[in-house]
Amino acid sequence: MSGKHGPVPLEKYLNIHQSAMASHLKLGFVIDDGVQFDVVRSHAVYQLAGRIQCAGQLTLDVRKVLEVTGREGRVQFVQTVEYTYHAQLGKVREVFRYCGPHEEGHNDEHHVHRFDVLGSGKQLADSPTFLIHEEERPTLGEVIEELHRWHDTHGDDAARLLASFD
Amino acid sequence: MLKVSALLQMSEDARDEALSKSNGAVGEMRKKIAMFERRYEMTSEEMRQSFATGKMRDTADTSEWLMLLRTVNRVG
Repeated sequence: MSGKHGPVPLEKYLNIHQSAMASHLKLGFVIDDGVQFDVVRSHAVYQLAGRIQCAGQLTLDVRKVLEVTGREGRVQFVQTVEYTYHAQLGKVREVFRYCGPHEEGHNDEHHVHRFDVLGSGKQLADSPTFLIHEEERPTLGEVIEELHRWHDTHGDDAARLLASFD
Repeated sequence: MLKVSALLQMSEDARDEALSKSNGAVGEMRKKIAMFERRYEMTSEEMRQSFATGKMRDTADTSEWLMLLRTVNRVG
C-alpha cells in the first residue's frame, strides 16, 4: 500500500500542488507562487523549484526532485526523492528548513531545522529534529500551513523585528 | 521552466512533448553548483568531505549544494 509520500500519477501530483497553492492564494497568505516545473531528465526526473512569497515578508524557497517510478500506458507515476523547504523572514532570519536525508554521513535522516526567529536568530538547541516516520514528513501544502500558523502567532513581533533592521 | 498551471492546461500530447524536452534543469543546477564552489572557494568534493567530517555545518547552502550534487549524479 502506498504511503503519504508514495508514488502517484504525475497529473494527480500536479493537481494536488496546484489546488494547495490556489487555496493558499485565496486565503491571502500566499502572495505569489514562483514555483515552476522543469525537466531534469526527460520522462524520468523532474524538478519543482522556486520561491513562494507570503504575507509579512515571509518567503518559502522550494526545491523538490521527482523521479518517475513506473508507468501505466501514458501515465507516469512520480515520487519525491529530494526536497528542501526553506522558510525565511525577510533577509534577516531563518524560520525553519525541512530537508531530506543527506547521504554524506551527517543528518542522514529526514529532518527539520528550527530557529529562534524573534530572539538570537540561531538554530534552536534541540534542532534539527529527525522525522523518522513517513507521516511526520510534511507535504508542501502542510509546510505552507505551518508557516501561515507561525505568521498568525508571531506576525506582529516579526514586523517589529523587521522594522528594527530598517 | 513552466508554471504548474500551464502544464495542467496542456493537452496530453503537448504535455508529453514538454516532458520530453531535454534537461533544462541540469544546466541551472550545474551553474548553481559552480556558484557555491566560487562562494566557498572549494570544490564540491572538498565540501562533501568537510560536511561528512562535521567541519562544515548543515546550512541552507550546504543542504542545497549536496542536493544538487546528488541530483546531477542521479541523472549522470
